[in-house]
Amino acid sequence: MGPTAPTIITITTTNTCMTTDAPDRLLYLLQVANASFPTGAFNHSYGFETWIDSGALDDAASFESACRDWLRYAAVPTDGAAVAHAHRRAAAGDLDGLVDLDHIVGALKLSRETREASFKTGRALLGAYRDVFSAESLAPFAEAVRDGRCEGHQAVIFGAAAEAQGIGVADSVLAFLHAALSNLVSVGARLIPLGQIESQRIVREAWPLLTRGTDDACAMELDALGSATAGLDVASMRHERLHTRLCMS
Amino acid sequence: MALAVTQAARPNEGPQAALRFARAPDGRSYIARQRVGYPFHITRPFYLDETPAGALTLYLQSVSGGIYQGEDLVMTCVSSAGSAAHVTTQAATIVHRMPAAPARQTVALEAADGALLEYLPDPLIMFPGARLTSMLEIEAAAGATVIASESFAHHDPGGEDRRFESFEAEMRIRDEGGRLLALERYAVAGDRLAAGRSQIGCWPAQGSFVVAHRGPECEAILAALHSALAPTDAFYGGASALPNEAGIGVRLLARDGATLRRGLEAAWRAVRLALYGAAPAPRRK
Repeated sequence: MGPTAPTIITITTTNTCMTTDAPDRLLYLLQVANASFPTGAFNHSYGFETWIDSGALDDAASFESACRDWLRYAAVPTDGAAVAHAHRRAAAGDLDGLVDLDHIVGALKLSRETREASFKTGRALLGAYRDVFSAESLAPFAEAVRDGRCEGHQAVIFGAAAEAQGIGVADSVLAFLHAALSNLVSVGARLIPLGQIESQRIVREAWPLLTRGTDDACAMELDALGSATAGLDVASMRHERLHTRLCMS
Repeated sequence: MALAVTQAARPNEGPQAALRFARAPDGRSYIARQRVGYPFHITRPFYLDETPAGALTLYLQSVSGGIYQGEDLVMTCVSSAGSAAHVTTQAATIVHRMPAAPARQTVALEAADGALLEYLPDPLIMFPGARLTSMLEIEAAAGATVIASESFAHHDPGGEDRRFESFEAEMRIRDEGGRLLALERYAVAGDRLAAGRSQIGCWPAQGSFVVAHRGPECEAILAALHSALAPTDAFYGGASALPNEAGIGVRLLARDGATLRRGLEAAWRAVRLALYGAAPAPRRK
């Protein structure tokens, strides 16, 4: 028997997949995007609690449909795109650009509770990032938040911190969107309630939406940031007067 | 700043309608300057409200019968210190089919200290194939109040429930120095507006209503709006404090244009009552 022909294996990766040739980067993302990372994101429903309280969302199917709309029309074109812009500005060392971006992200959040959720989780992320990773890379931005020059929105800080850890733009956005969806699904699981398998299936089924959304967010110009979830805007506004509330937004 | 932005959009032409309101020594507000060309037309000023004293009402009309493809319509309203003006329409504006090119409408509102400027048009009626970008730019001094709305409903005169193509909206509120305080930007494709059967469904008539006002009265305005916007099967609305203490923002969703218009009127009445202790007189349309 003669020598066998060498086997050629071709490995194809997309721009949103991280290989394990950089385990520290993957480990960073797994940790910071985990629901247990102390940002308080699990306390926020972004208006979903209003819908659940009214009975408009009462099972896995209705909740999943609303989550997908939220991802496509709110999370991707606002915070998802802001993560990408923050990443690029951080890479350029553009502190003023980050401050301006943070101001635009805040101006776009017209509902008080959604706006507060964004900067409260952002400030918590800023502190936890510094303390857990012993990282001072965001110290100038943290100073701008302390001085009142900007509010410190979560998407901006997530993008800037990921850049400092060597994560690529697309991976940063994908991790952010995945974490945001997972947190929202965990809120639904508690409030509706949903089973753990049902909840995880909703996240799994959203994988194609997450990857497409990441591409869209990375390509979005700054003057296109915005959302088109009018019903959720109203729900978030009405949450301020909800009699019984388990979530902060 | 708002006017500068508007003029930048039409570098070689001014706005088709430019209005300036001022307050006379007797307390009455009047049109201090007007330049109104095709397709706009304005009525004479009416004095319908006792409160705020001297406030004028102006009906803005379109002689063309709506908004057509390729049009780039610009209107500016400036309210000088202490003046009070209410600008509205006599009927809904039809946005026609636009196979060749989309249309754009820009309204810039600027109010000085102590001025009240209201721009509350009836909803735009989006016909099948319509494509419109609507820009609303508000610049309010610290002591000014600007109340404005931007709304649309879809309608197919053929009765086939064909949808408009797209409605893109952008609303900016700036302070007197031009600093951005609040920004609303969204794009809706007509196909997304299937008649909803629950609060989470898509609504065929939608509107935004803002009160650019800084001051302690905002809490009372917000409470009044929450009471006035009780949800029904045909209407879903909410109000919240805008970013950077820019005022109060309202979102309204309805099953049809008539219900949306009633919601907008309810919001306006609630704000007037909270600010001035008196409801506005009904506008004849």
